Amino acid sequence: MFAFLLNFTRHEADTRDILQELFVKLARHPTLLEGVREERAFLIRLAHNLAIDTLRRRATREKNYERLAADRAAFFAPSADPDEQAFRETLAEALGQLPADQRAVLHLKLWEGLTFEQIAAALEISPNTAASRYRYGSDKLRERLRPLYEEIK
Amino acid sequence: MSHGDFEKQLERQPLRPVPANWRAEILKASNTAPPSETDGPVLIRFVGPLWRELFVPCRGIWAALAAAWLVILVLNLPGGGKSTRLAVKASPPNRQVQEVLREQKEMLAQFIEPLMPSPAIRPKTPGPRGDLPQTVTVV
Repeated sequence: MFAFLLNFTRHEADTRDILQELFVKLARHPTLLEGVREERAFLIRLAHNLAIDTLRRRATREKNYERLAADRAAFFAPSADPDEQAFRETLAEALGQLPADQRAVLHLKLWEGLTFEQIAAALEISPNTAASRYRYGSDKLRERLRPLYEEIK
Repeated sequence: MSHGDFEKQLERQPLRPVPANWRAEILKASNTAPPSETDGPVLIRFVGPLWRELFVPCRGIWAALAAAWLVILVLNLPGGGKSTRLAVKASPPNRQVQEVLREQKEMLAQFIEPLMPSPAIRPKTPGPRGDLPQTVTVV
């Protein structure tokens, strides 16, 4: 959840606030999880909705929505290998340049291991939309990371 | 580069772990959060949001409305009781008053009488045949 929110918001303080808001909400409304089949998908949906609200508030506050996603947030664990480190930094930067909805799908597929059906349920979109967002996003990442990928390969 | 290899390379990138102090802080905030009233009885669960949506945003208007109703109630309660008491207390008019009232009634009747057509003056119009007097001859 932490990595998903950090990747989505690209802002550490916002990520912390959203996580806290999410847990406080669950503590105040323990019945929210009653009868939920896919708890993980449900929690991701809650977190995603809170993150969207936060991004909107932030965009209104800062009047510069486009710049928000490009904020540098330490998203991957640091690596001792300089090539790996360069790849991670470029990947984090490339992810930041993607639209937030594509970034969310990519994150859930690559680093959370969800299927398109699960992603669709979590983000309240159709599986086809999830798949197309993933394809567009991964194509952009591949274009951007091709030189570095060839090097570390 | 194949799509599958590239995806695997991305998946292999380790994500940053949650900062150590966050967990304790977030859990502490969650534990100290007061329970919501929406988890109470069913009535409160429905009335609570309604109360917040309808009453809270325009408390002044509701308070003014309540005050107006109170004023209306206060004004009406003693007035109604007084009229009842007056009706109970009122005694039947005495003889002189009755006489005056009777005279006034007669005068009014005299004034009105010329305006109303007298049944004697009313022109006689022939009625339907059924109204004609029937004579039955018994043989």
